[in-house]
Amino acid sequence: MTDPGWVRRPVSDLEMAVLGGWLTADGEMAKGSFSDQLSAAGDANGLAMLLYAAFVIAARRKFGPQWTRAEVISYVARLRTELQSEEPGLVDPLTAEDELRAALGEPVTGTHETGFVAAARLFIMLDIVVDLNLDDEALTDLLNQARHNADQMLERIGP
Amino acid sequence: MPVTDEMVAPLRALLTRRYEEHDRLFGILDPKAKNPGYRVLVSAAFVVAVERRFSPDVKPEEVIEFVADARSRSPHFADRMDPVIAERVVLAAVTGQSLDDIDPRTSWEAQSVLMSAIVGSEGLDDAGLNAFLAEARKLADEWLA
Repeated sequence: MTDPGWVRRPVSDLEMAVLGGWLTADGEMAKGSFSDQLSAAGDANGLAMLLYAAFVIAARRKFGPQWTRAEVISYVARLRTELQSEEPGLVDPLTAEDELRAALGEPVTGTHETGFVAAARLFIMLDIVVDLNLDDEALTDLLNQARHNADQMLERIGP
Repeated sequence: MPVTDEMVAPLRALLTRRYEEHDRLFGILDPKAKNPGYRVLVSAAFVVAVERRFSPDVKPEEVIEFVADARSRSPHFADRMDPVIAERVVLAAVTGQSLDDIDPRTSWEAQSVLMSAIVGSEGLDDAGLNAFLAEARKLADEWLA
């Protein structure tokens, strides 16, 4: 049975604008683009996949191939301490650790609430991108790579 | 029922990382010595350890980092210990926050692991360990009275 909420289509320019707004900390632009995107397409499939693709790219840039579980635990704890004063509880540690480990290639069997998963991916990606201190060109490259990967995943998984 | 030397023995073995000896000594305790005796002793040791490690005005950030450090030292603990629960257990010992919504067994297991982590990080010699155990035993006796 086809999921009525799933629309097979590539990542849109508006979705790229939403992610670009998040990455450049332009919250108003991101919010406006997100509303425009929902109005135009009626779904957020492309945005979700684009976010995931960007998250995976960021995670793999942050952690080398010899990453350890301890590094992931420490990183998530550090991120949570930085968010503690303004957004306590926003990033669930087990969700964030599992998402990172999965992005880094480790089979992870745990399942987590969708909202926690989305928040973990978004805040980790933003934190890493800020930490990488990318210039405009590098940021554009990252966005384009994420779009390419997201389009491939959207093509593969469909309804 | 006061704490006995037989109840203290497996705790001492646990804190000196003689895990097989801990299991053996725990195994020969009679049922009442195991529960509530040993369980209460471990909880008391946890409270003593937390009060040594954290000040009354501890910030959540300190607890997050402490729990992460304990979990990062052992994949076994990392898998078994939910950091959110562990952090709440520590903060509850300091602030008296309620843990009513947490399964008592889960809470106790977190206490045991975290207490071992705190004591392990202190690098106590025999005299220091004896003093710690005596303090925990005294508190447990108060709870059991």
